[in-house]
Amino acid sequence: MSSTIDRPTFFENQILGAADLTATVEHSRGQQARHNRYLHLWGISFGLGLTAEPDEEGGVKFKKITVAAGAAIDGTGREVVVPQPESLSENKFSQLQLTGGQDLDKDWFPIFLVGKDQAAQKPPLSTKTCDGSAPSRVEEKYDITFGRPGGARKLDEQKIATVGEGPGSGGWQMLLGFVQWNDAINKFKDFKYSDGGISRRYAGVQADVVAARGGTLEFRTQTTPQAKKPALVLDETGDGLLQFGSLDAQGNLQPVFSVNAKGDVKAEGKIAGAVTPGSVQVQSGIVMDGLLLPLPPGIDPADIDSGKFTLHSHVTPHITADQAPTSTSTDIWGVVPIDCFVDSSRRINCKLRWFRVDVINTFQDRAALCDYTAIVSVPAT
Amino acid sequence: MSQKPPDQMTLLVLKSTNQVLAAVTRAAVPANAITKGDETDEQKAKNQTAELDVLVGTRLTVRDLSVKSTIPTLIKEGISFSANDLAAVTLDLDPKVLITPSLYSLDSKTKPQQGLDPAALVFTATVTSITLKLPNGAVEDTGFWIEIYVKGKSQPLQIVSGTIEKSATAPANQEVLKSIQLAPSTTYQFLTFVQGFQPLVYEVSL
Repeated sequence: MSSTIDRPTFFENQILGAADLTATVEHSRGQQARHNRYLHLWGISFGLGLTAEPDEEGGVKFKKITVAAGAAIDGTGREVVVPQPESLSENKFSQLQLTGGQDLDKDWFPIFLVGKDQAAQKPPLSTKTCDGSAPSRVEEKYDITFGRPGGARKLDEQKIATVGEGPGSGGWQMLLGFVQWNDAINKFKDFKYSDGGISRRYAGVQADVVAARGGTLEFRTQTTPQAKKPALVLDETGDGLLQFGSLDAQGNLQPVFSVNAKGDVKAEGKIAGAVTPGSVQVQSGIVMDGLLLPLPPGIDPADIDSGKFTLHSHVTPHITADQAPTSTSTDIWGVVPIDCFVDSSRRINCKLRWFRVDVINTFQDRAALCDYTAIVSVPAT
Repeated sequence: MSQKPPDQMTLLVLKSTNQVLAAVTRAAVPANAITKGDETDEQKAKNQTAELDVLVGTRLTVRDLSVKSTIPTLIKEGISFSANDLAAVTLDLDPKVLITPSLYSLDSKTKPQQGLDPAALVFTATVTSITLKLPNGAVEDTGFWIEIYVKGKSQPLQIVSGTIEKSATAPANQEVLKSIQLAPSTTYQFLTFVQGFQPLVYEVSL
């Protein structure tokens, strides 16, 4: 490797050698590789999706799996292009002998795309060339190969190019997905894109500043706007507005959360998570005797027990005619509360005495429901 | 001031039979109380633990459980269940279930259904075994939970639980026999929960 980056230059009447022309190409190639390597993150840049066509052999089901046409940038900055759809090769998988010691009902084998250079064949009728001359083209080809289960975990351990290097001659592995294998018929059973928390990787961007030209910056999860997909939009409405929501069929954002330049926050849903210091949190409803007093969302019971937060509670019996011991039209019941309180362990105690108004000394004591309000004050510090 | 009435309720159920034991409504239902369907098993377990911690603690004591029998002492004192045997399920509010939760159990689609009359069950006990028989062969796996008390006591001697499997060969798909050790000349009460039926206390003198 040269210690400097040389850019070819020419003068009138210069006799150009093959090395001069090659250096011209290599300079641009190295520049493009460094752009890809340092301003992007390696991965799939377009297409390369997997599809499966179900089939059967001798009563055993299998799938023919195809990689769609597409392109990717590898970790050296090399562009790898798959110009046509390509079927995954069962022969290649068999020849790699990856299945020894594997549980074929559970294990998934990674599929890798690998770029490589290959010298093109000489044209058969080339003129003015000697028999020993080299090919005049290099084919930028690729391999689709497979690894052992777990092999995809080592993708970030591949050899990184030094700053001055170009894209090299290939060899960097990029994950396209995973396949499962049927050893009995030497066919693929299925594919998927993720296994054990590792997924195929898409090309990214490395940037410390992202700036829009038209006054609106949009982040979304798909390359084209799709209905019901999430998006985040930063624009200059009212001196600045950040909005999050999902897109409609026309690609317009339907915000559910926004914050403007004044700091006003608008949220359509609930805000959960850490409790804001200096706030008051409230919960209310109906609760059965024997349960603990329900606390506001996000309040840790341990913070109440330790005295860090202060709990204020209020309970009253929740009385309805449906709770009477009998419901015949001739029975007339009255009711008085016996107990209705929250004990020191936050447990609800609620008991009612139902008595027959029409029959003296006939009563039943019953556990009951109560209406509750729980207010938790969270100290500012 | 306007107030939105609660539109959801959380039921505390006995896991082995889906019997509802208690109910609560909350104006602010925690996000992790509602199953979205895409949670991992680990996340589901974590959410369950959080819900039970907040609503039950370590044990739930159910007083005045509705049973299809005269009300024995054990019911008045309260039946205590370990939080490990319970599940918390948040559903759309049904006022009838909220008012009288122990009349209901959850079906296979997690929908509250009023329990059938347990008079259709056949229960027998001897000093060495108990037998529980369903009215017909089980159409789905049917859990049961039987707490055995000496009459007049409020702490169970023993808890017997299990499942009558629909795939079992007859008569095992309708009937279950469990070996136990009980003392002769003693009166026992058997608090019995069978999936799909209302709770019942059988009293047997041996």
